[in-house]
Amino acid sequence: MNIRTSHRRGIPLKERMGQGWYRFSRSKLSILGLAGAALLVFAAVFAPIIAPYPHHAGKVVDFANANQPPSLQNLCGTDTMGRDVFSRIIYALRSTLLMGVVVLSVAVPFGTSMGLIAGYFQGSLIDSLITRLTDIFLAIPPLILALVVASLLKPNLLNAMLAITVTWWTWYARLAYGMATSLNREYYIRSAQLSGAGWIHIVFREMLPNCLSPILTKMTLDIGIVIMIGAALSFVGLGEQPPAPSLGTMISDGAKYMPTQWWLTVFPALTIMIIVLSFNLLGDSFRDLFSTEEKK
Amino acid sequence: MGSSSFFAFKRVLWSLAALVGLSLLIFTLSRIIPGDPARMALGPRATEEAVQELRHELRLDRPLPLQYVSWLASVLKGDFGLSLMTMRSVTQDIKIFLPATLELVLIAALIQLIFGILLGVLSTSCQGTWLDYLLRITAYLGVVTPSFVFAILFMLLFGFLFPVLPVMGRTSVLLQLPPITGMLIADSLLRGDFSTMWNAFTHLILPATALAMNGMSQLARITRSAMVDNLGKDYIVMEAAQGISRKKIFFHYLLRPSIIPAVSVMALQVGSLFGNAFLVESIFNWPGLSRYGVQAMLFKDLNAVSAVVCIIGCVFIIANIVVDILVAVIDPRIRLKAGE
Amino acid sequence: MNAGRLLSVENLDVDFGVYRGRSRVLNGISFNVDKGEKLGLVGETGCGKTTTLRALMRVLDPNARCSGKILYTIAGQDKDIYAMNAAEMLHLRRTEMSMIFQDPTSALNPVFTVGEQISSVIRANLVAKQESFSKNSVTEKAVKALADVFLPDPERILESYPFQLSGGMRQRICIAMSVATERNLLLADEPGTSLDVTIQDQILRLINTLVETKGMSFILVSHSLGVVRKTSDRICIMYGGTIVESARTADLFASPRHPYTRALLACVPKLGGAGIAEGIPGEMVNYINPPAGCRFHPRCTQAFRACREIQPRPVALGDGHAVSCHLYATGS
Repeated sequence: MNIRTSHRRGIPLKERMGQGWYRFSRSKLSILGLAGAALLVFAAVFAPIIAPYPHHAGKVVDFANANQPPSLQNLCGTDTMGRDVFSRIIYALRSTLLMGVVVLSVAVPFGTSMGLIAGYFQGSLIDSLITRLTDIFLAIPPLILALVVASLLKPNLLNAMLAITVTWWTWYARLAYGMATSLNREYYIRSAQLSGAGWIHIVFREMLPNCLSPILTKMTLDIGIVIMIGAALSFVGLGEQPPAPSLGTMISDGAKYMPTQWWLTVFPALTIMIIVLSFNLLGDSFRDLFSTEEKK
Repeated sequence: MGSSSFFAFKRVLWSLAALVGLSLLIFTLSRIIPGDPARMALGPRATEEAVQELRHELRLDRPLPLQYVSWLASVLKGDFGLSLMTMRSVTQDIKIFLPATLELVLIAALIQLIFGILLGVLSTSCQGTWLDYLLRITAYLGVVTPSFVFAILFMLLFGFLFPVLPVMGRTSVLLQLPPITGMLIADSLLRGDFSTMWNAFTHLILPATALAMNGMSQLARITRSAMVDNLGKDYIVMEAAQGISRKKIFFHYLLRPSIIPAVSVMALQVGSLFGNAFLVESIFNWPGLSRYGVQAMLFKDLNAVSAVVCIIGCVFIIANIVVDILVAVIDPRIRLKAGE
Repeated sequence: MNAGRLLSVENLDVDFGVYRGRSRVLNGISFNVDKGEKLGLVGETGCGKTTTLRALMRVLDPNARCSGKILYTIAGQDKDIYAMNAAEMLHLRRTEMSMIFQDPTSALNPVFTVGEQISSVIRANLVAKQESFSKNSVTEKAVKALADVFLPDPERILESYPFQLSGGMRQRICIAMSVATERNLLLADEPGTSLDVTIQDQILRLINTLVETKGMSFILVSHSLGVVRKTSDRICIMYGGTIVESARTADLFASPRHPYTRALLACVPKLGGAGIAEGIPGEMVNYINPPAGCRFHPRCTQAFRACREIQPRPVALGDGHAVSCHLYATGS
């Protein structure tokens, strides 16, 4: 991995941001991704206003209206309890997006710090400890590890987020470790050491800014994967518990009624696809943005 | 060559150590969570003595380190203990379920490697045409769609809309003969029993393809991107300038360096194949290890969970080694430990 | 120097489609190469030298558009390279022309052995000439080619991969690939510039010797006047995608006419001279929006109105010396 000093102090921040936006806005796909992501966040935040039947996200039964196909009153049909699927999807967006945000906001700083510290103190006891720890967590595939951890705890949204966070930090630790070990050889690190800077300053003020772009790019691309794992967890029943709606549980509940009541699974599945698509497009454009910055 | 095999050996050793560490972690976690496994297994109606007896039998009343050591000792002998869920020895359960998942994952891996690279090559060869754009969009959609969505989609399409393929279970035929490897297709091939083989194959193809879709799309994108990047490289221009035919350049000189990134990614993909397998297994009712594992996790069947984790960890290590060997075969720089 | 024209480039224009429009790199390039002649193409980085060479062999980027004529003489007949179909072009590349690239590290395929790559080229040539060959005869030729460039232990090198060899060796291998089979025209794009100066010198001498022994015509592209002075019979000076002056080597250094050539020569520090010159003010040409008229006029101290409006055509000054500058245009 080629790490150039992207921490350019010469050009004022405002101008860099302006340039960045110019390049970003030229690609239609990135605008699409941004629009999609913004729309989803908006829908999640303003769910009570957007959802036509906000109370259906809670304990409601309306058997008279159960199992209706999509119509003008129920855009995505109703489920076996008579609840409006569309409203439930909008509310489910909240836990889904929240999961992505929370997991990454905890896993990324923690994992990155661990990786940078281990990399900076390369060869020492701290390095060995942290590296062996990450090896343990990476010994099995992340989805399975998340499942194991989630199953050991009480099934609710918080524990599901905890389970995924516990799994996910190791990827960032590994990424940061690789970058830190190559940055160790850079002259500005050595000169900082010689002038008596403490390790906290070096790790967080010198190394970190140079690692930001790959980490930010990975973060945006990861949102989609974390959301998919979250959906997988709730598919098995380890996430948000009923009656609160969750995309994974909606799919697994609806799978039993395939193919006759197809709307029960198809719409939540489409929603997941749209979420992951938007954030993936966003992540791709971030990656292109950061790589062109280094090329020119 | 001697130093590189030693290096590989060291890596395997460290991976095994990590696996041991993981088993320790899970073991500890599972023993400290609230809830009594013995009670859970026997149900709320069982008497206190019965529960205590089971606890003693499961060695749950001994101190934690001793529990771990005795568990490890029996694992090394091949005994994973008793599954409270199926009331059979876990080893027996594994013997039944592991081959099913292995079969599924193996075929899925083959599908995604072959077709992923193929599609990437196709996309590059018609770069800029409508076919290229179509393939790229399809690949992108394939990456963002979760595998269980594909599973449901395939089930809908091929099971109900155009019912050409079976969607439930591994086979519609009752098996009388004892299994050789446990993998139906291999077993029936070895016996020359083609009708059973075909039966097993038709049952396998839908879940395996659903499982492979994510990886296939990812490999197609990676291969295409590598090929397009390499097209502009000096050595390709040089080969064209020296008069080497376009066909030879494309399929011989361009292909080999371009599939290296795809093959390297396979190691990670094997991990997600196992992870996603459980979803696909649940939907298609495929009696595999991943589904067994998830059920065990929900049931809090600790022996079974630990066993599944260990097995999958081992398979992961083996898969990583296989992929490393494959990459070394293709890329001489890795094989001969390039320069510095 | 044999008589007879080999290559004749007339009004070559090349432009590329880029993000912001079309980049009009080459603008009216015209030059000739005779049989056995050594031509030097000199210019600063970005002036279009590599593009010219690649245009000659038609290995430009797919989004490049070319116009103009490139006439190549085969068996006494002139053929326009851009009118040739794929099969004829392939034949041309296999038997008549070959190119040496600037960076030997990126010019060799990293995952194939050297032997595989050289054999490929030799086989392509033999197929084009419709000669029969066997695995052994191809290997023999490969070994001989490596020996011609003074590489020791050719058999071992044939079985090695490029990354196992040094930069100098790789450059020699590239040269070997180009001269392994009989060619009439050798194009060299700044050979050896990515290497040590002493090695570069060796490489240039090697190429020179080979070219002279085999009687090939030779176009050498370089950014260094010193290099072309030693190796070329004639020199063309390029600026911003145009050829501003061309002359025999001795004439060019003795009496440079174009203001750019003069400025270039003034930039070369001289022993016992007055120190380092100031350089040429201004910026490189913007190919997307090039200056109207003469492309050098924004940086020229002697520019006048015609320079800003009309593009100068080459004016013959006699004795093979031509210059594209309004200062010398007859009846300005």
